[in-house]
Formats: sequence, structure tokens, C-alpha cells
Amino acid sequence: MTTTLEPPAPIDDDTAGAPAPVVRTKKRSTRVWVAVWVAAMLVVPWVVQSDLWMGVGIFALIAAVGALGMQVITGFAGQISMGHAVFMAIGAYTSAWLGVDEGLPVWVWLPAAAVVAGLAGGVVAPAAVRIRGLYLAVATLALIFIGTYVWETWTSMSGGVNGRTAAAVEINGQDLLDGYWSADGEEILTSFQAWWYFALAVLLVVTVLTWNLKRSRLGRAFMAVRDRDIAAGVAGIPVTRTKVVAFVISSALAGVSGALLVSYMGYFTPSQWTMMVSVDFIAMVVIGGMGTIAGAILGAFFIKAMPEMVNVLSPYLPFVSKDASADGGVTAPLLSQFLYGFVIVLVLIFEPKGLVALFKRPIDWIRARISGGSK
Amino acid sequence: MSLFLQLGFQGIALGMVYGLIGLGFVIMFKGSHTFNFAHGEIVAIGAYSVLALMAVMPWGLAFVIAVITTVVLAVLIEAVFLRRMVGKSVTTVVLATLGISIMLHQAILMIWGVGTHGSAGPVGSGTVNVGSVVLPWSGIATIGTSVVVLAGLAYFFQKTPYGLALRATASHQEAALAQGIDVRRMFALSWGLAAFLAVVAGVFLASFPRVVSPSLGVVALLAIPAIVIGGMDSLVGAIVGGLIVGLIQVMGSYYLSDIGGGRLHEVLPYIVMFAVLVVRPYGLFGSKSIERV
Repeated sequence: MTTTLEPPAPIDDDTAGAPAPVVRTKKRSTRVWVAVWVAAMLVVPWVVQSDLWMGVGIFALIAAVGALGMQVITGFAGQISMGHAVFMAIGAYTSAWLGVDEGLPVWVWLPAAAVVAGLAGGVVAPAAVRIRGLYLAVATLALIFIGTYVWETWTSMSGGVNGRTAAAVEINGQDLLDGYWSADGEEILTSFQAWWYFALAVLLVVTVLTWNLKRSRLGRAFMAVRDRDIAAGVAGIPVTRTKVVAFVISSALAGVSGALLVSYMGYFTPSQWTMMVSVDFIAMVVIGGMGTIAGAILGAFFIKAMPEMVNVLSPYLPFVSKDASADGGVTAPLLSQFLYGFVIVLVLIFEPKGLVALFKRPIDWIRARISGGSK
Repeated sequence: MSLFLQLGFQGIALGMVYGLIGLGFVIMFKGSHTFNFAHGEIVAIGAYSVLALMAVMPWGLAFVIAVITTVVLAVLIEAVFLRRMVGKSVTTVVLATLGISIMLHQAILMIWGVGTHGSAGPVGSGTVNVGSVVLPWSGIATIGTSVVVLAGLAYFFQKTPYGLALRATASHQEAALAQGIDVRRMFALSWGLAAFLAVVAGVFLASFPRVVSPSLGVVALLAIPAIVIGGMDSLVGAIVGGLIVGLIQVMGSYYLSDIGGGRLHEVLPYIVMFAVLVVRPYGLFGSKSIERV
């Protein structure tokens, strides 16, 4: 079915074989944008005073780590995986086991979550990547159901239906969920601020890693496999091995995201690792923008913030009732979920390149104006 | 032995339900090159519609009207959303159906709530004894209806002009177009046909645990291992895969009840599916080309 092959994705800014001067301007402007973004992210916890929105923001930062992982497998390597929830769970259980049961510090359990989830991905990948496209999506869907069954049955690890305590992030012996205090008992950072900076730090590390990965030989191999796998094979790229590596990296990042998530929540249950968790990540990548780093992060913030937006707006909507009932009725959570599905479809139909493209368009327009319309 | 036969009968009945749902997936996949993740929710909508309508009219009429509304809904979804995505990548289209699936699920919750309702089936919970084997009427109705529907479908595909046109579209879209077949109408036809099968299956699926609940859409996704085992583009494969999954589940729920908390049968179809995929990535009856999708 050649008609359904993905059209070659536009090559990203600084990788294009464009004339040298253009490359330099673009690179510089990318740097400026990244600096602006990082500066803004550093200021956020001092500007945003709402606990609700700080919480949403921290969840978004944590989700962005997993979304970057999904970008590696789906955006870069072009494979749809529905298995992200399983690898998140593996990261979560690894962190809880090492952090709580073994009493190891975050510097051990967080990388360990990546390693164990990555290894699990490595076990599944050789079987999974033999299967292409749709079949991979469906095969990884099987992982979700098998995973949930394993967590629910392996009660000594998962705590059964009641769930279990997650590992706390302790820095200098202080649990970040209690905030960060100076030696003489003064609060330096609130719990929200402390967690925001911690999650942001992890996200920045992962962002740098994936950004470099994308520009590396391996990253280019991913994209070659995505665009024309047979041609990539002919060009000497080991197609299967490349897909396996993408799957492993993606699983490892999902593991980190899962470990962070449960650590921030403090508590987690086997039933939370559903298919919808994986769909969320796919949606982040799609809505944000396929194949771009900024897209994954933007998508994560959008997906995490949207339900809260609907919740906040729902009192002003006359047809939305407050409480759920067994007989139906439009409630804020149902409406936000409905809109969530609707937005996915709308983005796919009207802006397949995602929010990133929406943002880029005016920027490109201004840039074209400045450079005298030479483009 | 009679227990084994009884379980086998139930397994075949459940398998037929999965087969009908799976057939819907396969017909859409072949007819419009779309793997529709929202199909499970369409099954649920079918069952809910019958349930809602049978409260105010005789069952037969309720069924017919439910079929019409569900088919119209499916054709509308295809026309409003999926038709705009022709030519887009498989990933994009699959994601769109995931989005639609989420919308439909929330719509079900808005209309019918989170509660469970009684069965939407035409027959009660009675049983009949054949020798020493006890057969539930619901199982007999399921198998009987499925056989009739399948025979009708076979006739449709083999003997009618529309069936021929649909097969032509499935095997080669451009060639079918060149022969004067309205391919868009064929997309709609395949979705409508799938929706019809979904309503039939939904009614009987809701008679296995005898409830109609919002989780019906997820239960219907068990047709996915069925079609993967059978081969995603094979009509026969869907039925065979459905029967395999049905038998695995029913037999497993009895014979493996001591292992793994007694719930192993719930994931067994997925484990078998994974094993089949490793050996034959295109399923038992699928054509090798679908691996290329």
C-alpha cells in the first residue's frame, strides 16, 4: 500500500542543505527562542500563584518527558506504539521498588527506571518491530492489557487494588513534596516550586539528549526508516536494528516519565496504566507537532491544561451540570474528554503539522518581512 | 465431557460475536483502508440503541430502528471526518479514529450515564437440555443469527453488483475507479455494513455478561486479537480468529481458573495474538502485503 506511506517530512531548520548564511540566522534564532523559553520556565513558579495551575504545569513537565519518548518512536522513526503506558508503569514500579523497598536515593532510582523500562522495551522490540504500522499499534495494544493484568496479579510489587506508596524525591534529605527549607528552618521553595524546578531540570536534560539524538547519525537513520524503509535498507541502514533502538529509547523515556509521575503523586495503583495513558502521549505528539522537540513539549502542556480549562469554564456553560449521574448528562469532565477527542480530530484534519506549525507561521512571516521578502 | 461440550458451545457463541465485530473491522479496512479504533464504541452504541428503543416498542422494530440509526451515524462519521483524510498516512487516520472513539465514548456516558442496564438481547436467560448438555438460549440465538448473517453477507459479496463493486474497490481502488465504480459510495457502504454487523454483535455481546455498560466498547476491542490472529484483511480470518478467541476465553475461564488469580483468560487472547504475530506477522489468513502498511 504505497499510497499510505508518510510523505517525506520537512527537514528541520538547521539540517537542511540550505546556503550557509541562512543556516546561521536560523540557528541563532533557534537559540534565542530556546533561551526565552528556558528563562520563562524559570520565572513561572514565582509568577503563577495558583496551586491548581502549578500542579497542572508540573504534570505537564513530567508528561513532556514521556512525550519526547513518544516523539522518538512515532515522530522520528514513524512507528505507532500504544505501549507507552506499560513502560511508564515499569519505570514507576522500578522506582518504587528501589526507592521505597531498597531505600535508594533518587539519583539511583530515576536512571534505574530508565534502564529497566528500556530493557523491557528491548525484550519486546525484536518481536514488535517485525510488525509494521498498524500491526505494531495493535501488538503494543496487547501489551497494555497484559501489563495491567500483571500489575493487578503481582500484588507483592503493586500492592494490588489498593496501590502502593511511590518513592519520594529527596534532595539533601528533604522530601521535595514538603518544599525546600534552609538550615535555619526557613522555606526557600514551596512544594510546587521545588517540584517544578526538579521536573524542569529532568525535562531539560531529556530535551538536550533527544535534540542531539535527532541530529545524530542514529536520528537521521530513524527518519530515513520512517520516510522510506526499503530505501533506507538499501542505503545500508540496518532497518530492524534501528527500529529496535528507537523503541528502546522511547521506552526508557516513558520509564523516567512514569517514575516521576508516581513520585509526584506519592501513591499509585495498577489500574491507572490504561490505553488512554498511551493515547494521551500519542495525542501530545500529534497535536504539538510530529517529529519536533518543541512539538512534544507544547503538546504535553496543551493536553494537560485542556481538561482544566474546560473545568474552569464549565460553570459559565449553561448546559454543563456539576455532578456525574448514573443516568447521563453533560458534566465538565465528560465535556473536556469529548473536546479532547474532538481537538485531536480537528488538528489532524486542519493542521497535521500541529501547534508548532501554528506558532511558526507568524514567526516565519515576520522573518520573511525583515529579510526583505527574499524568501 | 458434557461440560467440555457446553463450554465449547459457549465459546463458539462468544467467538461468533467477536467474529461479527472483527468482520466489521476487516470490511472497513479493506473497503476504505481505515483501521477504525472507534468500532468498539459503535458496537456499544448499537447495543444501547436497541436497549433504549425496546423500552417503547416491540424488540424487532427496536432492532431495525437501532440498525438504521447506527448505520447512519457510522456513514456520517465516515463522511464528515474520515473522508477528509483520504491519502493521509495510516498513522494519521488511525489517530483520527482514536479521537472519534473518545468522542463517542463520552457521548455514550452523556446520554446513558455510567450505570449498567439489563440485556438488550431478544431472548431471556432460559436454557435447553440436549442430552446431558445444557445450552443457554442466548447462545443458540447468537449462533443461529450469526450463521444467517454470515450467509447473507456471503451472498451479498458473491452475487450482488454492490458486493462485487465493494470487492473490486477492496482489491484495487484505482482500477475500481477506472471501471466506473463510485469509490466514495463504497467507503460509505463498507462503513454502513460494518455498523450493521456492530449492532448485531452488540446485542449478543451484551448477553454474555447480561449487561449493557459503558465498558462494552472496550470489551468489543477483543475482536482486535481475533482479526490479528486471523489476518487483518481476511473475511474468513475474522471468523476463524473470532472463534479462536471465544474458545480460548471460555475454556480458559474454566480450566485455568486456578492460575494467576483466575483472570488469566482475560489476557490469553492477547498473549496468543502476540505469539501468532511473532510467527506470522500477517496473521493466519492475511495476505503478506498487509505487513507493508
